[in-house]
Amino acid sequence: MSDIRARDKWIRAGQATSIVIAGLLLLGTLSLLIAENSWLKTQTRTGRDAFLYGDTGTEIMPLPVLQVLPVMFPENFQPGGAEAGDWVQQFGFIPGTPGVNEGLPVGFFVSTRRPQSGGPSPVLFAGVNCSLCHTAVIRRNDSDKGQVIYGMGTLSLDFIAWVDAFKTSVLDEKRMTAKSLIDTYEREFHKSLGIAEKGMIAAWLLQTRKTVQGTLPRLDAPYGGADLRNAAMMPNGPSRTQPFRNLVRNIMNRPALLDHGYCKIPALLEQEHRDWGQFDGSVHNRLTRSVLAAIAVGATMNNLILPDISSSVTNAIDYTMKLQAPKFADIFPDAPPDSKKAERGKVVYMTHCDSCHGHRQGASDWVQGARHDEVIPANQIGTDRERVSFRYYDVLAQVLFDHFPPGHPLKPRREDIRPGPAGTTHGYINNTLESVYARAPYLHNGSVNTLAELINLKPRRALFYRGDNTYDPKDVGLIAPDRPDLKRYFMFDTAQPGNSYKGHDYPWAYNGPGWNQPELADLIEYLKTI
Amino acid sequence: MKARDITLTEFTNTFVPFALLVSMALLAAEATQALPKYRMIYAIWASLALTIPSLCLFILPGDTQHQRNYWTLFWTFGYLAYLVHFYYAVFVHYHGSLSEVFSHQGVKIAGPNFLLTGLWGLDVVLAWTADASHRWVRIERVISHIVVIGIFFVSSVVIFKGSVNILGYLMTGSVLVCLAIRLFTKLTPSAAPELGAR
Ligand code: HEC
Ligand code: HEC
Repeated sequence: MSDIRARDKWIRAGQATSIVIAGLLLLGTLSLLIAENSWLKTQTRTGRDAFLYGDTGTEIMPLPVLQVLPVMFPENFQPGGAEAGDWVQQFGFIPGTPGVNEGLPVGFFVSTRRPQSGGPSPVLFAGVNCSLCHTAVIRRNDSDKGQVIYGMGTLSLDFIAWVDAFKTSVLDEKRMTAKSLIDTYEREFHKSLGIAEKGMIAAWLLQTRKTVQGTLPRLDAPYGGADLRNAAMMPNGPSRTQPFRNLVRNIMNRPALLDHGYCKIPALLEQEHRDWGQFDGSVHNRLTRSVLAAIAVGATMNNLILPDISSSVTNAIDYTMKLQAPKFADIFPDAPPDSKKAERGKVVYMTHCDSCHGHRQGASDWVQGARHDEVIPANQIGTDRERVSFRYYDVLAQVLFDHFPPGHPLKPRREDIRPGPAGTTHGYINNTLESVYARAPYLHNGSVNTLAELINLKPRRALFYRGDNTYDPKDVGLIAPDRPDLKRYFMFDTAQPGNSYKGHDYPWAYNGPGWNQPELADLIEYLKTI
Repeated sequence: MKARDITLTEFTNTFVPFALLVSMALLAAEATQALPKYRMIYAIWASLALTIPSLCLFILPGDTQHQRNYWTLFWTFGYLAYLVHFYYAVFVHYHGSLSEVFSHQGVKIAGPNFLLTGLWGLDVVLAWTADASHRWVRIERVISHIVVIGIFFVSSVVIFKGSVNILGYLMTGSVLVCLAIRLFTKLTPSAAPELGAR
């Protein structure tokens, strides 16, 4: 009898315990949900603020991790050695302002969202947005602080190398642990992290490392150390990226091994004058273009529909609709255009260039050329073909379209991306040239340093070094040395696949039939004024 | 008759699964790519799993206090889990905007869903407060069960495809088996009490 009673007592105790445990679990879960809601702080930004600081769903890592990486992995974040400057200088970021936006370089934003899912995070996350690539500094010499030009494509950022530096560091299981990250942060920044923040950093590291490791069999190991500056291994180099390789990798899950479609980061100036975007004119609607840009940098179907993120993306692109670069004469007051020559140059331009590119009228208008939006086949214009002939070029548009689930609010219209019902584009599109001085280096692969070379006033150079190049207002473009130095490390060899500097021999090939040096000298002065 | 003298065992056997399933549903979503969306989805899975026993208990013959208590508890916890789903659906996914719900789902889906929310809630309240010997309570109870079964069937078997179908088939199978048992016992001499006596 008492045996049974004792057993009952145990059973009741067991039941009470399980109720308490289950109740505590439920309570814990609910408090996590409440805490999560208090973590999330969103902000709607417009205009330049949206462009510079907006969250575009492209979070990469916790802010403390971004801050300690260069301390923990100097070999990857100062691949040129300590004397070549800090990580901001070595990868060509534009330094930020202390006290503003956590003091981060231009193009980094901070948010309280996690990468990919956009779920709330107790620790601030850092990511990169449109202004990272689409902002530049024009410097006349190495000691010049320079002028920041919003909308101009970066001249110096070596984004792909920086991403490799990051991945290589993440793969170092010995030196990068949640504990080493947190300890280094607390030591270097004299701040302590809360338990939730530490937990999030640990969870992020676990997941990120797993993801990077998962890509190794398909993509091979990322480069690190001095290799990051070696063009034989990192053929992309500063001021360019490979957005389509990224799309093939992320969306099609293919290695894109032979992709040499290096794309100069273009200027986003007075975008309202353009109908079809991208060098090959493959995207129509501007929202679609921005959404694809965000996806190429890592935003997802899920986080792009969060209201603060989708409005950042929309507002950032809206900012570029009427955005103008400063006038050439204002940037280079000591080297203004020669107005006599410019007047004569306009005649040359109207004869040889206007039909394809159109011309400036008044302060903010642009008269489109008769052949505006025409895609000139690559073999006809003669510039490098890799950008429009990579493997999967013909199917990528459809794959992108299918990637968006039906009914997704940002799903592009099929006719807005090519190849598709709106035609194919195996070439480069005739487009507008507002503030052409701010589009250096020239051509879609950035293979021509100056306008003087592009119009064949001067012979084009076959090999030079890029990195943090200074600007030459006379030839209108980059000063690129013949030999590497600490700041110009990337060997740009135009004989390598994807790097060809040939083609677009308008109005005349250098020293070829019809070549008229005085007219070209006039033309370049006119180009400074548009 | 209503729930009475709920024993510790009865409460343990219903509350613990409820707390575990709902916590798991909310936490598992952390590992997915879309937090609120998966909380909404996993919560309805939890709700369906908790509701299946109460549907069976309702249909099966017999009317002991034990059976009534279990039915009340599962019916209630199933509804609470459903409310978690409802919260994420209406207030997070559709930002608390009725017009958004209706324009996205259409009246044909949103209408029955709201009907379900109201009717099931009413029945849970009645289960704890009203005596089931009232005729109107019995009618209301049968209707609310038919609505719950119907809507779960349409959503977990017909409309959505994937893991949720497992639960959908499980519910459909259980309901059919219980109905068969009930009909079978009704045809045998020891007649079972009226449907909806509870
Ligand atoms: C990692 C660098 C990078 C980032 C970040 C980036 N872009 Fe770009 N963007 C590029 C490159 C490279 C191209 C050229 C694509 C091509 O080859 O056609 C481009 C092209 C564009 C174009 C087409 C320009 C034209 O007229 O043809 C638009 C518009 C654009 N980006 C908008 C954005 C927006 C909006 C964002 C932020 C969501 C963004 N970009 C972020 C590198 C970047
Ligand atoms: C037949 C049409 C056509 C004519 C004529 C033409 N261009 Fe172009 N232009 C293009 C195309 C297409 C591109 C893009 C080529 C590429 O990036 O590979 C381009 C590129 C350029 C660029 C580089 C833009 C950038 O963002 O890098 C400049 C500058 C330019 N053209 C100036 C001129 C000038 C000046 C003339 C007249 C002397 C001229 N073009 C004549 C079609 C033309």
